[in-house]
Amino acid sequence: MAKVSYPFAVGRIRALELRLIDPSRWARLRDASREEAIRLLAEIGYGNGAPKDDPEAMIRAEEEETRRVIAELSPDPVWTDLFLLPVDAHNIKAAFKGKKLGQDISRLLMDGGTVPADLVRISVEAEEYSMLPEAFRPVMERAAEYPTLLEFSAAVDRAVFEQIRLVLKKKKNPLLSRYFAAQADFTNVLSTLRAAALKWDADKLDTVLLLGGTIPTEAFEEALLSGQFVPTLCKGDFSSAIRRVLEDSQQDGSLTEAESRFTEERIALLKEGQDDTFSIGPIVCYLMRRETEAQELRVLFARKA
Amino acid sequence: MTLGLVLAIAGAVLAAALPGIGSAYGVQIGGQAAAGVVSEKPDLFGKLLVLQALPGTQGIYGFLIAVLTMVRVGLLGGGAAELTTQQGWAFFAACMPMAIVGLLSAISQGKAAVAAIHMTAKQPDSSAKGITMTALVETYAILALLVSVLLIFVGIPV
Repeated sequence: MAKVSYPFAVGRIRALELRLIDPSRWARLRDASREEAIRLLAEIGYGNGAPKDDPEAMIRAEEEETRRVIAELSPDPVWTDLFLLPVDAHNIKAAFKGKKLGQDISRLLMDGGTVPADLVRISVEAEEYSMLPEAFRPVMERAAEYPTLLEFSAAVDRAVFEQIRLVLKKKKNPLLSRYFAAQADFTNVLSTLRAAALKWDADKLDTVLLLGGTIPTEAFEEALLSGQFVPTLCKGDFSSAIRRVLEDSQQDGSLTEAESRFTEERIALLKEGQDDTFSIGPIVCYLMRRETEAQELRVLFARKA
Repeated sequence: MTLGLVLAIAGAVLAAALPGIGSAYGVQIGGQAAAGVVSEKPDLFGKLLVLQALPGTQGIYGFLIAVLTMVRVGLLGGGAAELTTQQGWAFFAACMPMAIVGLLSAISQGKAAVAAIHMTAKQPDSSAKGITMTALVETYAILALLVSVLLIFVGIPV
């Protein structure tokens, strides 16, 4: 297949960006009842043919369509695939859980990963992992050794970042290196806050920490033991962003709010590359904005349920 | 054929070739960007076509300088002038403003056109602004064209 050029891909993305839900529509969605909100979404063409009475199906269909479009028009799939690895991780976890519990998990699988969902399921069932991205293979080969599903799940999440690290080591991309380092830092900070709230010990926290961040590993244990998050975790390349979020979250104490703020900070980092027409920046920025939109819609409909 | 005439022809060749290459590249990336937008919004084709075509003018200017050089040295009149080496270098130098500026400005204008096409995709009413911004790059190609024309017709005694 002929390689898609950046001007073409970004041109299409610019046209697709018009389909993002704008602030005035968000305001109408927030004010509307659940039924009205579903109808509003259907009116703007959201849902990609999914049943118009099921918001979750509409959101999911839209997410899958976005991933399909991104995979189709990406000039450098090696970069966009990095953003699709969490879908692979989700499918691997679902397939493994289904196999372990003897349940049919087909409806839990999501399309749009770097490996087709059915292939992931077959790979896990047959214990043949050569079709999976490189970093997932050792995790799957040791899958039976993890004492709990939580630890297996944490290992799969770590494999996502290991795969990203492997790819970025082979092929340089300063924008994405910075973005994923920030994501690792932000996720580790959130994990530490969550561990403190759940009264985990340092060993348990260590199993969920991700690789590839810029905060020294010992800072997380120190933060957990001392309970002093701002002075111990505001380190590394993104200390100012972490400080902003932590200081605000200390005031309202909401982990969900902190998670949302960290997502905003991540998108702000990607926006640095949004206007570079000849780079992957606008494409991955669009993908992230679509995914954030889907998450916000889920929250909105959960509140209206 | 004298060395002077060979140098003048070389200048004409570069004046036609380099801006032509630049224009082809500029129009190509403009076309790719426009195709991406039109694949989602076919109604914008007319507006985007103008933006795509803008980087093509440098190729025309280069062609014009090449033809003027050929006319001036008598290649199109049937009897080529017996140019000295100095005269040949002078014609060669006279073609260079258009050759070099034409190449680089066409590429730059192509990139500006891509940005304007992407802006028009988001705000179709801004296409005139996009055309204006892209056309500003043209200024430097026109200046180079003028310099080359003046040098060819006024600056070199034959």
